[in-house]
Amino acid sequence: MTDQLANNGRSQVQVCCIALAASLVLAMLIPIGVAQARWQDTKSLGVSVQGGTLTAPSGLSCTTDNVLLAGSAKISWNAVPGVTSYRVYLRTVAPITGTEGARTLVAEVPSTTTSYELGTSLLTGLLSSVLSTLVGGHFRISIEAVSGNNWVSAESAKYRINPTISVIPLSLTALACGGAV
Amino acid sequence: MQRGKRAPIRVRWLLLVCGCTAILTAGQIGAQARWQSTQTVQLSAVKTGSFDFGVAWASGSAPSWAAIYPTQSREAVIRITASSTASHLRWRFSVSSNVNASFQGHVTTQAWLGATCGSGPNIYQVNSPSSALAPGAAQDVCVRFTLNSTAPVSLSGVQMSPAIIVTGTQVAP
Repeated sequence: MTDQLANNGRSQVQVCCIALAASLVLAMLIPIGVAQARWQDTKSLGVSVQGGTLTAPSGLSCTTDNVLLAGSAKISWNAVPGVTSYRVYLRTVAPITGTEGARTLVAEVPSTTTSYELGTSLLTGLLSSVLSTLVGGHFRISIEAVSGNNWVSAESAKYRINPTISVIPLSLTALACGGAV
Repeated sequence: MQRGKRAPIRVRWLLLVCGCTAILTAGQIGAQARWQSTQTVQLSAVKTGSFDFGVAWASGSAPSWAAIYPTQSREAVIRITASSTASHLRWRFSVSSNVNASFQGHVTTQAWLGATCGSGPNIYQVNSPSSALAPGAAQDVCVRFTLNSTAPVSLSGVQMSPAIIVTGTQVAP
């Protein structure tokens, strides 16, 4: 009984102390809040801009440089606004049937570059048989424009590259520009 | 002879005290009564002061921007002009922005004090430095919007309408 009375007394003292402390804190905060009151205003201006649309690279052209047994073809295209890079794709085209193979990404060049040089060594690796070029096998090259991580244009028109071979040694030795497909 | 009934002494005392109290109170009230009058002195009219700022394009008109692509930026210079009838009040500023819903999360906004982006103190969502703008003074601010490289292709061909929001806060005199 005595303990309970003592506890009640202590609780009342604690409640009084908490109330006093809260009052002091409030008394200190209220003037600070008043002192910090400031004029504040907001103004705005609006502007608009269109999200760009990537167009497919166009104007593909080709020049060759065949020296002795090593040849190359340089493909160029017109710059596309807003790109961060270009992807260069190659396809093999089967002789006789003219069936087009799956495209292979051979390079991704920065936006500052609008050309790509194909070497005979790269093309050799793509051919199932070098001899197929004797009966009409050839390559098609195409370009895509890329912007950021997700924006990709439609594929450009394809451009034909015709290889020539030497029999001894059996290898691609020269490239010729075949024109737009 | 029948003697008349008289009230007990305690009651008589009580009545006496009450009577005295009533007399004294009435006297006090009477003594406090005064003439009262109110006079109004007319002063000349006084207006409250103004404290404001304005925001406009530094070039005089909104910029005409070419289409934007991922990783690209577009910049605009705005001019903030402080106005006040009191010379002791000044403004500090911060810039924020808002874009239409489809572009939210895909555009990065930056703002600097001065007409050249990237050279002055950053004030995007940060108050301008303590050298606050005095009444009548103007301050150019360069704002840059960048379309993030991760922007989805669904934003291609879509109109982006960013708002440049300038918040001014009074600096204590």
